[in-house]
Amino acid sequence: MVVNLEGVDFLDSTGLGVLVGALKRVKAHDGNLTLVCTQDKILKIFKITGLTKVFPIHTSVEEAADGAA
Amino acid sequence: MHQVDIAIPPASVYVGIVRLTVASLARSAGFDEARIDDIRIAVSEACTNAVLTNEEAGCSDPVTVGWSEEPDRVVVEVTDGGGTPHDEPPMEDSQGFSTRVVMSVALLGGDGRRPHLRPGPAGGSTAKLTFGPLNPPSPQPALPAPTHTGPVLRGSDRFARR
Repeated sequence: MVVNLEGVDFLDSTGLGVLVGALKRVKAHDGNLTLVCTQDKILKIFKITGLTKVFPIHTSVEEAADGAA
Repeated sequence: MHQVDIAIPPASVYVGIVRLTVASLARSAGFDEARIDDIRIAVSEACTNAVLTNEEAGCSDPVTVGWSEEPDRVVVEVTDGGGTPHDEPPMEDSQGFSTRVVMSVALLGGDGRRPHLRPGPAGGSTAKLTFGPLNPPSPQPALPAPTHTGPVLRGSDRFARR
C-alpha cells in the first residue's frame, strides 16, 4: 500500500496514529505500507517522532510502488 | 507585551481555528516560516490533547489558549477543564491511539522545547509552551567602500559653492 502525502498541508499526532494503525493492519496481512513525501515540513514531523525508521518514505509514487513490489 | 486569549468548544473541529490564529500571531511576532510551523504543530497538539481530555472527562467547558508576547519570547498556555496531568494514557485501540500520545509528546517537545504541565484553575490541566527567542533582526548590509577619490565636500563647502 502506498500513501501519497504530497497534498497534505498539516500532519499531527492524530494523523500519525492513523498511519501507524494502518501499518499494523497491513503488516498483519503480510503487506507493507510506504509513504510518498517530499515536503520538508511534513518530513520534519516524521523525523521528530522517529517514524522515519518505521515507514519507508519515497519521493514519488512510482518509486514507492517499485520499492513496495 | 501583547496578550491574546482564545476559547474554543471542546471539539476537534475547532482546533484548526487555533492553528490558523496562532500561525498569524507568530507571523506578526516576527518568527520565520520554519518556526511558525513548529509553533503551529506544538500548539495544535496541546489543543488536541486538551479537547480529548475534556471529551474523556465528559467536560463541556471550553479549551482556552493564551498567547503572551514577552520581550524575548512567546508563551502559550493551553488549558482544559477535565482530567489531571497524571491520568493514565488511554489503552491502545485498533487505530493506534496510544501511539498518538507518544507521537504527541514528541511533537510537543520538538525543537528542544520542554513543555510544562501543571494543574489548571478549574480542575483540569494547563500545558505551558515557550517559544523563543524571537528571530534576531537580520544584520544591515555593510556599506560599500567609497570609490570616489576626489575632494570630499562637507556640508558647509556645498553651501559655500552656491
